[in-house]
Amino acid sequence: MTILFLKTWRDHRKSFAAWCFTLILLISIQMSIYPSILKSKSTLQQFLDAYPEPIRKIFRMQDYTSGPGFLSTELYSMMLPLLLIAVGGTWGAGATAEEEDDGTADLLLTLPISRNRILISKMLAAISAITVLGFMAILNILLLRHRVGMEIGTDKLLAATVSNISIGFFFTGIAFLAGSFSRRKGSAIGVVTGIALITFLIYSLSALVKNFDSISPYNPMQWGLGGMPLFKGMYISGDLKLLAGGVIFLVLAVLQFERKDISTP
Amino acid sequence: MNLSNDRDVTVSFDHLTKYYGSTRGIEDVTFDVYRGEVFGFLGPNGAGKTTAIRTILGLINSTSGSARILGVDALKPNAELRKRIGYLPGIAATYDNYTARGYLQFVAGMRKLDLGEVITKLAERLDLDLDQQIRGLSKGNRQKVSVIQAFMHSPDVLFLDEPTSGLDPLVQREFEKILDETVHRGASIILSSHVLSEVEHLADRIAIIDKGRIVLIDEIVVLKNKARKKIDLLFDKPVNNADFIGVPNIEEITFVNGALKCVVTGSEYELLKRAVELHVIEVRTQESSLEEIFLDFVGSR
Repeated sequence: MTILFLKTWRDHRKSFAAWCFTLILLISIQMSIYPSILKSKSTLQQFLDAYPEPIRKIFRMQDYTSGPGFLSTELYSMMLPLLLIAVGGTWGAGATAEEEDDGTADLLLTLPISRNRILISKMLAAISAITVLGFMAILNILLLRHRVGMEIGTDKLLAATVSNISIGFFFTGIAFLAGSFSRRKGSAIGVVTGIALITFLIYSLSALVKNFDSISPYNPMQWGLGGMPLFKGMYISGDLKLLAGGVIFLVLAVLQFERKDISTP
Repeated sequence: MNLSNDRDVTVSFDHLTKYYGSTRGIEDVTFDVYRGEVFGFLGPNGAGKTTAIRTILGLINSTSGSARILGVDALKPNAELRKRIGYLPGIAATYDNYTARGYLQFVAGMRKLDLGEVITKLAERLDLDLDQQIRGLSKGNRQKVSVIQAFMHSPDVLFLDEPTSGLDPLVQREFEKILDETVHRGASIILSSHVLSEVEHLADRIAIIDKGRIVLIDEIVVLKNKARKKIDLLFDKPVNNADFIGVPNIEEITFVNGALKCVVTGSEYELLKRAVELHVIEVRTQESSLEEIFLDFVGSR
């Protein structure tokens, strides 16, 4: 299993390095502008208050100039969760579908390792990738927060990181499940991207559209972001729902992959 | 080849059937392969050769029937059994982002074996540069990588699907030597190929599969004896049709300059007996190649 875990990492090392670089650059740029936001705190808040209420609600701008408000708007409410979904989704969707697409599944699946161990190795690699990215983000912020004068507790940052990683985990589970059904990586990525965008759209509009109130409790984005962990700390029930959902999808993916007829290109 | 006397069955297909929904894959495929045997598996494109192999290897689920390899139910996942199997897929896809050595060491690692020396030796024999990126290798060199991965762990049973595809004649000869050595140490080889001369040269027995069903299984020697042979007979005086009335097993008779040309199916004893009576001075026999046998058989269906 370790060999396959390491191979999965090796296969994605270049794209993962690119994601890391992008994330660090993005956070560094965002953190670097925070001092100027603090300087013009009152002017900026007046400016933001002038935005229409629906826009402020959609982008959660109510407390933009505070550390939690700034990080929530700029990073933890959209950018980071979507990035983690993109990474987990790509690794998950490609785990088996890409092997079939490339024709390498035939040999891999006749080696002395069971199908579930193959899938679990790849799952562990994908989960470790989103975890590393999540903690890379928090580490970057922790290193820069005092330098830029940002006031935010480590516990709140940790809570937001756990929520974001949980979202990534949930959608990684969907990606593995889609990949275990599909014979093409592209279609599996399409499924996970579609679900992520729809749930995110519903979550974003839920502040405005009353009709979404009934479905919000079932929306994974609501579980991860709705608890506002940067302001209120750990949102355990939401995180647990995401983790449980992710585990269910992963188990279903293993069961489906066990009985799947492997295709050839 | 070294067909053992005790006829240990190592691979057994027992009424193995695979349907994709309502589409036929294979139907009722039944045959045994023995220890120390090269078993040729022939059929036209889409006949079901690859489906049969992929089913027994557990890559696709059977619809009915059973299969055993080395006495173990092959249709149930079994890591211990897979350690003893080598497989060269028809589409020999490898991980392009590895060097040949890196890829082969990955496969060896998955088998929990240290095969560095074996890999190097086989690469030398097949004239393969192990340190090149697979992405940059020609089709033939990629095939060499796949051949090495199939043989390197000294498996007891090998499934080779079009193994020499893309290999040049010199390398094919070395491949045949490797195959010969493998069989001599007692391994069984199921060789699926469309290069009939290769199968004819290497296999002890063959099965022909057509439209998903096995239509013929026999030893090549026996098949050739049963097959149509072209015979030319030269006499010291002209002969005609009347001289050969009542001789069994002959057809397509023609007379050219007093010589008889005909096709014999089965025993040629009666024909030769009559020819001797008529003072035959020369007999030329042209045996059917496996290709002709195959075409006769599949073409007549």
